[in-house]
Amino acid sequence: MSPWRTRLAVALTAMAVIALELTLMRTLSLRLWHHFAYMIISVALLGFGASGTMLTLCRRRVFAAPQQWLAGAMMAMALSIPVSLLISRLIPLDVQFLAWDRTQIVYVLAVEAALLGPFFLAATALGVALMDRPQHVPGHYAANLIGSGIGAIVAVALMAVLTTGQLLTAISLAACAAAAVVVPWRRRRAAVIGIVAVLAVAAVNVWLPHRPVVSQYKTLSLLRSMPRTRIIHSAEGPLGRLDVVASPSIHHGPGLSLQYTRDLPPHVLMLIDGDELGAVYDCPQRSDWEFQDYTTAAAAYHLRDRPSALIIGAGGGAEIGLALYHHCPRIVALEMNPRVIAAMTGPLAGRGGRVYEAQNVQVLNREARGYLSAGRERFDIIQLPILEAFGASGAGLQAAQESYLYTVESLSMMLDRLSDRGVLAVTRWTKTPPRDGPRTFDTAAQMLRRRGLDPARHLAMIRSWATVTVLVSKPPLTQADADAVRAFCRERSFDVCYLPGIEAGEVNRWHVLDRPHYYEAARMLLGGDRDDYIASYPFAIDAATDDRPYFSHFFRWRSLDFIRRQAGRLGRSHLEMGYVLLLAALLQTVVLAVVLIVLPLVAGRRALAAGGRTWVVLAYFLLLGAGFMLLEMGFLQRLILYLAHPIYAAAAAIGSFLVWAGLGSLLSQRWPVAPKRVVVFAAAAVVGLGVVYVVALGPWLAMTQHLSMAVRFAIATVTVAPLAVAMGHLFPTAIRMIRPTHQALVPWAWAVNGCASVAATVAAPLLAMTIGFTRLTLLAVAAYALAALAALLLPSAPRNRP
Amino acid sequence: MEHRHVTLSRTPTVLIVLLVVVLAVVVLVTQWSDRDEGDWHSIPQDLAGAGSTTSAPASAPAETQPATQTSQPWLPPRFTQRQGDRDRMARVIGVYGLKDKAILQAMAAVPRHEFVPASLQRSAYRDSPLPIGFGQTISQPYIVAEMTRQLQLKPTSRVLEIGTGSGYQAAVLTELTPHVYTIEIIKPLADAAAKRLKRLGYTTVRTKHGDGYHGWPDAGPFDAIIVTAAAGQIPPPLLRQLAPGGRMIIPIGGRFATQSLMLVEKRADGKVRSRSLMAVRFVPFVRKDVSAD
Repeated sequence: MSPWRTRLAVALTAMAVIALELTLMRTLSLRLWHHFAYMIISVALLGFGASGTMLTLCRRRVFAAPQQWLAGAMMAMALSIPVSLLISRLIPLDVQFLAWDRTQIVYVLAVEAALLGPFFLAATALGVALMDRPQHVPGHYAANLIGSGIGAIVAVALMAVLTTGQLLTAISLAACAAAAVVVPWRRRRAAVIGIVAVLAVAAVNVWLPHRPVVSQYKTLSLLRSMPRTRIIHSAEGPLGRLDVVASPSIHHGPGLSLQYTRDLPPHVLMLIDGDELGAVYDCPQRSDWEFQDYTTAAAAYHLRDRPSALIIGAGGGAEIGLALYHHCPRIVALEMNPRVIAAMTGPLAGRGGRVYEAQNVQVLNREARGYLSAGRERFDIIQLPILEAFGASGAGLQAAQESYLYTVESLSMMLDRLSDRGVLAVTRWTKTPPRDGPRTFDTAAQMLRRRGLDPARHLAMIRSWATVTVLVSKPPLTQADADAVRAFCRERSFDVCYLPGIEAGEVNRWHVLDRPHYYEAARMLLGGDRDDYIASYPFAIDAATDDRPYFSHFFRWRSLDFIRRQAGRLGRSHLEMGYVLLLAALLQTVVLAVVLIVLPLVAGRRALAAGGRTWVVLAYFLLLGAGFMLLEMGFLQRLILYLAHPIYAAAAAIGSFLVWAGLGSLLSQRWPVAPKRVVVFAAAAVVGLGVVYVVALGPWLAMTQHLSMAVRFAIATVTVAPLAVAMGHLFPTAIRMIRPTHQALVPWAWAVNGCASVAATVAAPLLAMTIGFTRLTLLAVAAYALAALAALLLPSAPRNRP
Repeated sequence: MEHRHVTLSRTPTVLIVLLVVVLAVVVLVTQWSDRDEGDWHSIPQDLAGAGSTTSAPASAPAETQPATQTSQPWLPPRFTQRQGDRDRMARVIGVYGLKDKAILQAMAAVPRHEFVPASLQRSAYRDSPLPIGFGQTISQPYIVAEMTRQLQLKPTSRVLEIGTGSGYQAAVLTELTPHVYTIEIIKPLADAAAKRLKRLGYTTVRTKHGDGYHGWPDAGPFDAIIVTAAAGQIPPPLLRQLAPGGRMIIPIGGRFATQSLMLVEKRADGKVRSRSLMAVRFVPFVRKDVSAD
């Protein structure tokens, strides 16, 4: 068979695999929560590891009929996609119940097992292709990487026009097409099997279309259980599924003061992936927005008369309504989801969406950090309202989610965009024990300190029973400002937590805590004992930065012991599910990886050890897998800030890393030097470039942050090129080096590399939460440095042909 | 060797055939399960059916006294089945520090296993929340006990429960006062709970299918209101229906994760204050001049 036929099939399969990965992330985000993105990555790479092991064990059988294996695995993958999804849908997994019911762990594993099939089969096909003749391997490997890269970009692009169900069908058909390319059609029997298989794939996709499922514990499901609930608008896109729900049972006034006893205006609820985004209130009159003035977020408007306002996260328009209520002459609201803007100005225009088009209001489809870095307009008030649902915050579901809005650098940019009388208001849900409030306060205080300002004179903090708002004033707060805050709180039964000159007797009066925690936290965080206080606090409340942008990650191992002692079994309620799921994913990955690596070692130890230096080979491919994924994940995290959303960042990072690494692998066989030198030079280049990226990537991305999304996407793709091209040299060249002496080791190297990649993918965010992205990247660089050392010990291979 | 080759070359075919078989099984299973599934998701059949005419009660009340709120004192029903489990559950609640005898007796009296789906009956007395369908749960026993305690009920107290769920919390409340009103918005749950409470002998409980946001104006004002589902807003109608001196209790946290309880007290002058009752107590390192204590 022509190598180009194989390459086309490989590229299509690789494209299908990455597209499947991204689409499953979307599907599981809707069904459960976004944490399962890591589960999908982990499952995908485990599929690769497992297939490597299987190919190692069955290599003789595979060599006997490689083309049949190739076509069969690809066709089976096409069939398995709808089947796997159907099986996973039948498993009653509910992540919120995980802490209480051990059966849920079995369900997690069952869902993973169900989804493993397509990845295992795809990896088997790709692995068989890589077992082709040595001279074809770099080309096949390049086709694999380039196909993967294109798959990432195409999948995200298609999400804008196709539903997830349609996209999954398209992926299944792509895998089927890949199989069709390599089926030996001239042989009658193969042709018959091929036709039957193609028909089976088509039939399965027609009869078993993907039906989206939503956890019964998500707001969408709860609402649908209630009488006369109607979904009045739905739209799917890369940023999630938007649903707008109308029901007489919806009464949405989050964090409203207990002093507000009137009825809320008519409203519908806007949901993203089944969870609340916000309500759309139908307020024809300005005065109808009065209820919004009974939230802690309204405090800033009581400090400045007729202010201009910037609202970050326009959502259902409630914050715009608050600004309108306060006669703001100019209101700019940022909304990064175009589906939300389309809904508000389209089908919802007559139900409250008109607030987007009110006089003085300008809604921009922009991401906050990009907007803040680009424009020059200044505002008297910047509102950073609550952007997550009440229940999601309480359950710690956001713990593993990075947020570049609540960081020292972000708040500093917001301060730059304030006028000389400007006030920034950051609002969060309260937690017990307090976490969000103290961390917001410390983040703002650190930002002010970095700018040489005294935070004690610029900060205020107030709270209700549900929310806490930190006010950051550009000029020092005056006595009149402090009096205005006190009056605002008194009328609404809100508690003042901190003001310049506050007395201990003023605090903790309306929503009474067992201690004046917020007041104490504010005073300690402003004083010389800040570090001791933060160290003694049972949860992590120190300032979030761009290097560690995990604002909602409060867990410390010390917290576990504290919670266990203080709350016993109730302590489970305080676990951050996002973090726990990541830890669980890492644990299972490591266990499975060890099993998958050790299994072939035990089964075929004689054959594997035949060429000697087995452990060097193992170490090399292990370090390569870990280093590649740590670098890619570090880069991906940086791109979340740059491209404003994880799905765009994932497409750009995964896509560009794979495409450029694919080109690197093609280049690798063209250097007129010995492969060992290629490997050592490439590894050294990765180390050098990695260090350059650590120093220069942040400033470079910040410089270009203001450009349009398309340009930024292109910049991200090109920026990664030198590093990824160098990285792409290492795997195929080393395979060529070991093949003459360690033929049996090739699939095993593939398995080891895959398993190390899995572990690194899941470990990367956990490491980033602890050590930050800079050190994470340096860790990846260290892995490549060690790989270079291991490469020196690898068996040599003949010199490349010029 | 040739024979081996032929066998092996069929492996992909075998894979496809296997997948088709799996597919057929899955289709059958799906069709079977779709038959019982509702449009969205259904109430567990064992829970919905509890108390129906076809199923006999698992543990009939040993002694049931019909409600006569005016002429004779209310005596809640008594149960003997799984009394040991209930006593153990009450002891676990005591471990959390709850020592109120009346509350512990109430918890030891109500047959929790009657309020959970049949598939979870073995776990009914476990120290954890349990799912009852429709995204609703029966709370962890300690949380039920603590919320009940915080209401400070007397035999004459009128208490309103928002979110009947399976009816368990209402039954516990009935151990302390016969004047219990409960509202559930999800009709299948409301109907099943009403039947169950009646079947078990909790005949004084007034049940209603409706939107708890509006409370029960005709029956108010209430001395106590218990909201069993956490919410981002305290419904103003409930505040209005709370009698002066009344107490309202609300769990705060995720759906399975009650992190604290919020107690709302309406003073005699009608002003409202709230209090956070923390499950986890901590005293961070604080300088003396900062502490407000």
